Amino acid sequence: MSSEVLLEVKDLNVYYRVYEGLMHVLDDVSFSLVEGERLGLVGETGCGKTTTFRALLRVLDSNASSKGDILYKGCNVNKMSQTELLNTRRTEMSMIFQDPTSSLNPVFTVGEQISSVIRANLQAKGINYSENDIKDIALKALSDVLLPDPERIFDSYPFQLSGGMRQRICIAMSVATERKLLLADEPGTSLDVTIQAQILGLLNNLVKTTGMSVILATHSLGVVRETTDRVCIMYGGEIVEIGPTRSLFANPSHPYTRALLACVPKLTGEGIAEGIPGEMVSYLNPPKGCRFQPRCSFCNEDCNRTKPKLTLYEDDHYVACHKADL
Amino acid sequence: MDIPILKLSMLKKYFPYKKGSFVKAVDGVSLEIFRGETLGLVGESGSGKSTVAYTIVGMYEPTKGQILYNDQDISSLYKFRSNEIKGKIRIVFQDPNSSLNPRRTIRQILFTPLKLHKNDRYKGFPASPEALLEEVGLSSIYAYRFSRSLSGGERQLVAIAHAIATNPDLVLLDEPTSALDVSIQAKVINRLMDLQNRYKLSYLFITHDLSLMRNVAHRVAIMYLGKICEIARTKEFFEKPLHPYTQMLLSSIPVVTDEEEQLKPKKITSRGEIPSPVNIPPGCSFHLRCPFATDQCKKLDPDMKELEAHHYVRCHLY
Amino acid sequence: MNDKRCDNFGSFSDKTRRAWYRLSKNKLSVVGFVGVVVIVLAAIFAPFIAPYPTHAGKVVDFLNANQPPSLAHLCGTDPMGRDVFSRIIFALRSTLLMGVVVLSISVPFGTTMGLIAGYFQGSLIDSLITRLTDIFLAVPPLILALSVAALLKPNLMNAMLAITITWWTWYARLAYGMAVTLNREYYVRSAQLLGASWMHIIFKEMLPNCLSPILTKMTLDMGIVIMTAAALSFVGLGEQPPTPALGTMISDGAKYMPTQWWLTVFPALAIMIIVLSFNLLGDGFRDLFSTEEKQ
Repeated sequence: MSSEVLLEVKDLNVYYRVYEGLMHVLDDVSFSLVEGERLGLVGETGCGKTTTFRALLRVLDSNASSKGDILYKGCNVNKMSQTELLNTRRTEMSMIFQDPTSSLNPVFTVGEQISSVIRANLQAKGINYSENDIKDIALKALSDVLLPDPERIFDSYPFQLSGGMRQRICIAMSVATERKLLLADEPGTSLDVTIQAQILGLLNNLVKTTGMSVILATHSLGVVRETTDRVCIMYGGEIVEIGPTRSLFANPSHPYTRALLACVPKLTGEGIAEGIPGEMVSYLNPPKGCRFQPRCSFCNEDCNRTKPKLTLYEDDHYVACHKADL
Repeated sequence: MDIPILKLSMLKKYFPYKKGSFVKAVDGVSLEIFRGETLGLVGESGSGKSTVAYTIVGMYEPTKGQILYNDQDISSLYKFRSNEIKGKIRIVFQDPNSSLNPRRTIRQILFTPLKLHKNDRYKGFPASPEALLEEVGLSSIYAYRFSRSLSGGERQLVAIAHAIATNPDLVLLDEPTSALDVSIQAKVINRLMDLQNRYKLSYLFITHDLSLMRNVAHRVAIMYLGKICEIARTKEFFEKPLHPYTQMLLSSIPVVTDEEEQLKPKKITSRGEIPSPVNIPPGCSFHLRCPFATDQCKKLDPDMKELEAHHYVRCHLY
Repeated sequence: MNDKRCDNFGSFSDKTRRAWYRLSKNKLSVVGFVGVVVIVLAAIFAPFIAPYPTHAGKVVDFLNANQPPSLAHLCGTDPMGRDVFSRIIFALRSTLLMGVVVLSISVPFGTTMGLIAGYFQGSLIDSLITRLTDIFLAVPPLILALSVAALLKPNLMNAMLAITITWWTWYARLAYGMAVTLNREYYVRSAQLLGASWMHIIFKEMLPNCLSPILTKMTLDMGIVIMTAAALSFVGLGEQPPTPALGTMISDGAKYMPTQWWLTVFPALAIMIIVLSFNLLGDGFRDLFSTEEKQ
């Protein structure tokens, strides 16, 4: 694995303007990603995973504004011109969505949709191509994602295929042409466990063979444990803990991470935890200090007043908590 | 042994499909649920687990087979059932957004079952919407709100309050927590267990989450293509999974600790997908995905066998 | 703190303010809203607003006949010497009354029929009601209204009756479609499984969920009903003289075109403004409700 930094996010803030006021959704999110790395982004519904992805690709809604630096190969995504941005999306980054049904257009065949992606990519790179080349690339991509009978699938419509096959097609679209960074937003959540296992295995293999980097957003701790090198735990639009997967799962140190791990039903059958009291933060009026403080059982005055910074806990493992030593 | 509160015997539900063919959603399911017991019914989407629940409550009429409630045959549509039975078997749907009317207040929603089943409840059972809310651990000030101002977990708790309002014997839980986050799921599950202890409720817990069932169910049944493959007491089920499909499911679960990793059966790589219930393969319906399939499996559908006490498997390997 | 926020969230005044915030984002719907308010107020306070309140009745003032628009007579006078502006203000009364009465009868009736048919989809009741609405919808509404009004004595009551008979079917159609969708909602199924009666399901579970599109259609329809009413009175089947009606005023004035243009143009303009205001407001409602659904 080369250790060249591919993506660096520094102090990313995202705001949404709504009727009630200004929602401060992402609060100083910073992380970096080296080439060939698999990073997990874990958190509950509404913690800002998808917003982070949208900010990375600059596809936020019209009432949102984003501040901070997103350095992709040293270029700031937030300052790119429209053409540069389009080229980056066409050749460098791609995204897989949670719901494969709504991310494929029902009135075009799989072949037409995958070809248009390849065509845009080749045009952006300035490569000459013929329609046959495109079809060859598409068929290769379909067989790369282990779809049986790519020729038949090329000509079929999305509704003729199962959910697992549709998700494979979405992946095929993202990897048909060489990409550097894949943003996967809950790729297995809407699928059954056996199919999810297949999809995640497939992603892992693709990362190994192509050397691309993946950011995997999911709410399932089990999934990141099995498929990533490093994990970010997000809560309320902030990264509360980040570290190598192994060390983070062996030594979870943020109270939120620990509570979340305790809530996951275990195969060992030790019963169900109490759950985390309280509700997700309100982005309109987030607590002044630590955002998790209202729900935290270890909090004190300090947590109320000052926001904890990410500090080194052990090897490459950072925690944002005043009480992390406990 | 006591009489099961609900007994399904060879329940079948076919839906007509194109000319002459049928979607065999449920294809011969037999099971029993006892008082105060949680039976986990686990399967992938398309395995027919929800259809089983919908048939039990009478949303569908069984094509064949019987549904016995306290030894009384109730295999008919809900329209032809007595009001009392309707109140005794209740269902909680997966999506609380759709199961609560967005234009009615929580109080109005909870008042409907109370009004309709005034006489079926025993004395001392919560008789007002506010009392019901407190029963599921929600503050009674929620009564005058609409469901959209509640969080997902709170909505599901209201749906549970709605289901227990009639003082039921059996509650069918159709993936009640699969749309919720784990921290919320934990709260909802704890509340469900609490209610079960207090009112001796029986649950048919339909889910795709095996790790959850390890902690919640007394017995677990695995469904595949409209049939039950394996059914056993929870402890034995997880310690000694017998059916290859059960093993495949267990080995596909992403887990969070090393101890759990050791409990998983040796990696059976998941392959293939669940076939369409219109074209169920001949023989054992799992043979296309089964690593141990033999010629016999392709021809002959295995019978349910009791291998150990209360541990039933439907597989030629045993 | 959290609870307080939630309580405020559902309160009535906050809801109204929220709705107004969204409605006010579209300037045109605000124009429509203001227009409708002005028209309604003008109709209610007609005797105080109209410069010559007596001109709405049997008045003859040949000295001032056929005056073009001036400061004394904003919209001129007719051959009888009556002030056209005052007559338009008074005509608003019967016009609005017409719209309100027609809709307040046809909407509840049509909606109920549609919901019943939709709830019992596939049954005999369903086919009866749907066929009946189909028959009504097959005849152009104006023709049907004309023939009904012509059969009966021409007056305001019968004109209303005629329009009502043709109008309810549209609401039956709308409610039918919604009921069919709502049948699949889990709260409806849940009520069925509980043993709730069809009356409960239709009126308590389904109806509240149909109100927003029905209200939108009502606002949009107000304009169309008023046009139909004007068409009926244009051919003499509506309000009878000397009570002013916009349609009658246009048809009477048409004889004097183009020299005494004000007799036709101003009542026509009035109809246009009324219809436009209601349509703009209706569009605003539609946007409002569709964003509400999304949230």
